[in-house]
Amino acid sequence: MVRTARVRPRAPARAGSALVDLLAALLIAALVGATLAALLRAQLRLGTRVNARAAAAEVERTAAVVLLGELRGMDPGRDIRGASADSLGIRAFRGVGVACAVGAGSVLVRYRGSRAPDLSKDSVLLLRAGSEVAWSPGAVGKGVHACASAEEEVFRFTPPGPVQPGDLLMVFETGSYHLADGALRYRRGQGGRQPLTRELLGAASGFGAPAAGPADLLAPGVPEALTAHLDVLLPGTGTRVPLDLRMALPNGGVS
Amino acid sequence: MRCAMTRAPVTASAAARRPTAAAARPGVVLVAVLLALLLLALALAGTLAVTTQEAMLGRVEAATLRARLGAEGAARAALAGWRPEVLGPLPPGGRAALPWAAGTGAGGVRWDAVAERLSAARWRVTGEAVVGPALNPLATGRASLLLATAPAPDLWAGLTAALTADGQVVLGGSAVLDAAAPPAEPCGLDGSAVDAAGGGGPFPAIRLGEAGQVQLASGATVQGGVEADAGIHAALLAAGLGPLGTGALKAVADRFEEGALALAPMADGAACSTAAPGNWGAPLDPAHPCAGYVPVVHAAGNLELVQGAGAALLVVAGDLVVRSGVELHGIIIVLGSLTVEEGGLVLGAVRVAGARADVGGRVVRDACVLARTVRRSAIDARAFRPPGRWWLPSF
Repeated sequence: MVRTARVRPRAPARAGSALVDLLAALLIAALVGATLAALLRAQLRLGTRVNARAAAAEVERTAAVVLLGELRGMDPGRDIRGASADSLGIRAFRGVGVACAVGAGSVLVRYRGSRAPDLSKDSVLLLRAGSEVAWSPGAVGKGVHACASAEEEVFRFTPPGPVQPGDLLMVFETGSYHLADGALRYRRGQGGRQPLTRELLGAASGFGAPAAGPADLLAPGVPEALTAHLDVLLPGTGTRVPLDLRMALPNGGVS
Repeated sequence: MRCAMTRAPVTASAAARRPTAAAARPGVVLVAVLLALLLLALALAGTLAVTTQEAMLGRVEAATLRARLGAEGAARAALAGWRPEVLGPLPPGGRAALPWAAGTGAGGVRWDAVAERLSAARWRVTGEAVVGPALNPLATGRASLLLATAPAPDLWAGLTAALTADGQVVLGGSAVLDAAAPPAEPCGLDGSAVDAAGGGGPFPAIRLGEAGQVQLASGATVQGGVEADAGIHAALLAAGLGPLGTGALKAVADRFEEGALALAPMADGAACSTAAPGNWGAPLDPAHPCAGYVPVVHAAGNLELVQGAGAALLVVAGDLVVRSGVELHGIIIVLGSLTVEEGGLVLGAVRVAGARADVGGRVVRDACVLARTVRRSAIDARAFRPPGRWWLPSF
């Protein structure tokens, strides 16, 4: 009996307290869960935005590097072969050489370029004081001459006309850049248009002279700058960001 | 009994301690929280990876831009600081590093430039820049410029008369145009230089284009005669002198003048004060510190020389007036009209592209003065932008 009398009536109090505990636990869990869900959602949104911005920046960066590298050494009056709102046909230079030695029907050229001259796709622009002549070389092969520096290679060209030591030979392919079908694309000759960027560009993208239309790019010696307008879609956001890449053409302006 | 007595309370107590759904939930919540945290960490890591990559690309992009600008700056610095005394002796095919175009900048950027002589009159200058360690650079840049020089023999072809014009030439009664006078003595140059300037003579006093006319007053003297030259026309005369276009001459000019000007040499001790106003050298005093100073002068508008003496390779985009008492030595290119008053003297050669040349004084072709002007102005060794393409693709 003594033992029975010592048992305290704890059960009713514990039951209520468990409910309170349970409710508190549920409340805390809900708060934590909601916070985590909000954090996760915000993080995913941030991730989407960051990825979108990164993708847009990549498009802008690629376009700037490719176009700037291509156009910087170009003479717009001579090297822009055609222009429209979404395309720019150019002489795309792939290397520059200097005639070292002239032999019977051939010339040895010390050369440096982004790739070796290729007879199947390249032409040569011969620069001499006061004149420029474009021709297709009859043959191109490796040569040897002491005139080349460590960074240069020697090639033997077969020119159709006279070449003098010191003449500059600029190797180029005919190509065109397009801001079409959602991307910046390059087309060599009559080949297909290969995308250089992700397809994030809108239809408003295009080329033009800064204060006028693309036709002004064809006026000899006139354009001192060229604008590539990029209408970039930020993926996953539905937002469009207009960007103008205005590039100086140092050979333009004064002829 | 004891056991039965004790069992009931124990049973009641056990009921209270029995595991319930509430007791199991903390584990579920923990797992859910951990999962959510894992997702959060993954999303965060993805974002971090993208931003880190962007930061790296941005760094490389900035370095590439700095390298490109460094290379272009080096090429331009090579042109701006062109040193004829260093580069003049370089043979065609030769190369030389240009220390004045080299330098370093904060942030680990280094640049330099090399000049290659392609032919007697053409050069390629290549600027190079590196950002980052030499062995493993972050970015490199190259920029090439095509430049031109004007060798003296290419200039003499345009200086084959005392006065070359395509407009109306009016000679006053005291006018003297002379292409047959012997070179001034002492010339101060070796004979071969003077011979080169005088080679190909005898020359006419006046060489006229098809549109040119000469009106002589009684008493005017023309030593060497007047020669018509169908190859002379105003546009050619306005273009400059052979390979030296007026734009190139403006670009390499030492002085820019306009309006009325009194010529007087100025020295600070033994040094010629080339910045002093009106100092166009001292052609009349071989012992003067400015005797060797022959500037290239460009006047964007009209120019009036009111007194004194000077020597120059002078380009006047407007009209030039040489007042009485003025003695001017050099190569004179006038795109407008020319007036040489009675008592005024021009030694060397004059080209006038404008409609009229009024000469009341003396205009004398002097091979020594021509050779001296070219030699002392170093115009045959200065580099300038050639017409047309001058920035080349760089690889």
